[in-house]
Amino acid sequence: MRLLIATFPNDLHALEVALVLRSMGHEVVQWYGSDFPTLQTGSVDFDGDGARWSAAGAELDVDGDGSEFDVVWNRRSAAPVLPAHMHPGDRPMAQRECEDFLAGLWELIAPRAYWVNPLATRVRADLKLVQLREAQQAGLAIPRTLSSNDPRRIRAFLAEAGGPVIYKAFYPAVWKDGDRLAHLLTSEVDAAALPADEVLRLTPGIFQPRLEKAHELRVTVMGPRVITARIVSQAHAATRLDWRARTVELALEPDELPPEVERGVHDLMRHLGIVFGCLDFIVTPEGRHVFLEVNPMGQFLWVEDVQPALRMLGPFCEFLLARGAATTGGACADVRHADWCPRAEAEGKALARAHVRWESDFAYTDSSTPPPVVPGRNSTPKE
Amino acid sequence: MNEVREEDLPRILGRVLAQEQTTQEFEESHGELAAAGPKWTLTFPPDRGRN
Repeated sequence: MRLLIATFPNDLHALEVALVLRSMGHEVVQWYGSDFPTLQTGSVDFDGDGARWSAAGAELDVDGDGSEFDVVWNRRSAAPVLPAHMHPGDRPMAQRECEDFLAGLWELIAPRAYWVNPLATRVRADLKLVQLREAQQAGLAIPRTLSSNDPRRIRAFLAEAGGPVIYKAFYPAVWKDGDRLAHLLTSEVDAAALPADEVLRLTPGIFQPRLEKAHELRVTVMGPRVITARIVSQAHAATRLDWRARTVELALEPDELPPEVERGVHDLMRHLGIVFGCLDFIVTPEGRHVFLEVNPMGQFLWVEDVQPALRMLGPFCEFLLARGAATTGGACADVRHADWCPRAEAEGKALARAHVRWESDFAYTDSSTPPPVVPGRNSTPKE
Repeated sequence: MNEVREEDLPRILGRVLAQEQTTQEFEESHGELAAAGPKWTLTFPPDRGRN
């Protein structure tokens, strides 16, 4: 089988999966998106009735007419990275042209392959508001939710909630200022914390009542297979609101979804048009499963890293090889993350030097040391 | 016209609520996973939300 992985330097997930699949005799091409255009060229040649594409660069030399790959794992299609020494006046146009060219090229590469996840649905499936609506329609319980930038609606939601309310953003965010970090996690919010209306309206957000939790679930869907990890998030004060706040003692246990919730999960995936996803649930003290969101290309190997009984690497490789069909297991039964991780890390370090570094676009810089607005002392913009 | 200093500008809600830590405090909260950094994700901790 021939597989293509869209990836970025030091992507441990892609490195481990590629090593495993190659060891089984499959051909794997890793395509580093950030190498374009400085270390990578691409072409599409329309001639007569046909079109041939090609791409070449560091460890990449592929071409074809659309039938060259059986499976495409669109793990992370890193954005093109332009060099620092460009004329700043040319940069926006070059960036846009690179992105548009690559978007079209990827559409032509392997239209008949099995895609994880399909290009056509990926953008829509990533939208949190669409996820909540589709989850509702799939019969999953979701929190009462207001998403808005309307200060009047937000203030009314907080006032009428009858209890604590949480705020979360659409994207992860971290502000960096020297050795100080400010991470935005799911946060409790009250009226005193809200900035002035003219600032509040600048960023729409997601507001929900804070739900009581017995524990949380990380549910990883690989085609027909569902792997459920129970996150023991209520044992420590620091992780009760958002378990990501403190992972040093994070405990995971194997768990299962009730059949009706698992049916809802599969319906949701079908409605979103995706075959892989990492879903987050709250389980209330009454045993109610409340869907929060799905990460269509979430991380999953960390689950096996924390709890080796929750096997992720082997099942994911099987999922790719089965092209979404149900498997009886066996082909990757002995594949363990702990065995492949050291090799993948070493290979990642060596390969990283040959590729263009890709920076996350979720990190922001506080260029001055910013005392954040103190709750209850909302300031207003200066004229 | 008075020049507006950046540090005097009000912050959006997400920044107001963001949890402030030093790098050391962050590493103490996340141990080996934090030390691994990009090993798992471009946005540590393991992602929720769009990643």
